Amino acid sequence: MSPALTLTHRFGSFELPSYNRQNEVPRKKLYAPAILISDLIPSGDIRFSGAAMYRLTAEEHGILFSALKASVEIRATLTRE
Amino acid sequence: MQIGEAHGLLSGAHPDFPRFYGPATGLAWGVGLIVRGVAFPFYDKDVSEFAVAIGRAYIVSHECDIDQTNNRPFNDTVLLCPIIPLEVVLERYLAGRNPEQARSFISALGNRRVDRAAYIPTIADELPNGGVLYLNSMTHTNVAELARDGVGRCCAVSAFGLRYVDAALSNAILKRPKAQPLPLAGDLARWSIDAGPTVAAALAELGRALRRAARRKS
Repeated sequence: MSPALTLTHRFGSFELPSYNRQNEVPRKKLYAPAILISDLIPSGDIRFSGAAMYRLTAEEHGILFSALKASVEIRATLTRE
Repeated sequence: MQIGEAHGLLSGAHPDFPRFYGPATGLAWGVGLIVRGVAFPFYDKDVSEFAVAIGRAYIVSHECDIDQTNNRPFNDTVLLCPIIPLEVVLERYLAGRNPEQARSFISALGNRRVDRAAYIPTIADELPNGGVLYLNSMTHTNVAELARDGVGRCCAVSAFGLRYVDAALSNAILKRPKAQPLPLAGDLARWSIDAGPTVAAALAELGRALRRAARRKS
């Protein structure tokens, strides 16, 4: 698994306290797979701001198009009379 | 500006980027999956014609809309957004503009301020510097293409990653309000002015009728 994926899923075994309701004594500690709660809570803004956006110029759109073309393998191009 | 600097700026741009992805194992084809080797059409401006490209892409269509076991029409087309590796974007950018302009663009990309483009972080060996979703290049392919040899799943985005890409898509594509007024939607006052005296009179009459109805009710 890649490092990025490993960081995303930090599963592990954690000691969890448990209580037996029948005889009212603490149970043995449970070991269960868990995920850190902090992993579930977004810690930053994810808005793509509508105000003060960086509007791409026509030239920059051309650059991104050129980058897209350079990053793919072109298998066929339509030809018309 | 070197790729290391650009990657450093972007990878630290959001505290949740380290948990942007998760495994695709067990997930059906659908939104949030990142695939490699998929064929899709795009318009090649250099020759003014459509071409077939093979590359990486982010799947935009929801799984229920492309599930072949669902008995519904038109479930054989998958919307996707090509992913451009960051190093290719930077190389092309620097070929056309100066390093300061590149720094400004990369900085805006990291701050989620570039309209119609979004940075996605590193996927280990697949996208070592991360990539750019160029939302203007969203396209489609056929579901059958996903089953073709050579097409593979890189990974899926996490719940956070999905919210991030959804926010980018929403900002880029679902721009509201519409620049020009539409009938019977939202800005009635502006519509009535643009539409002329007949519509304005009709709206005024509607307003009077509503007020009369309200008085009778009270």
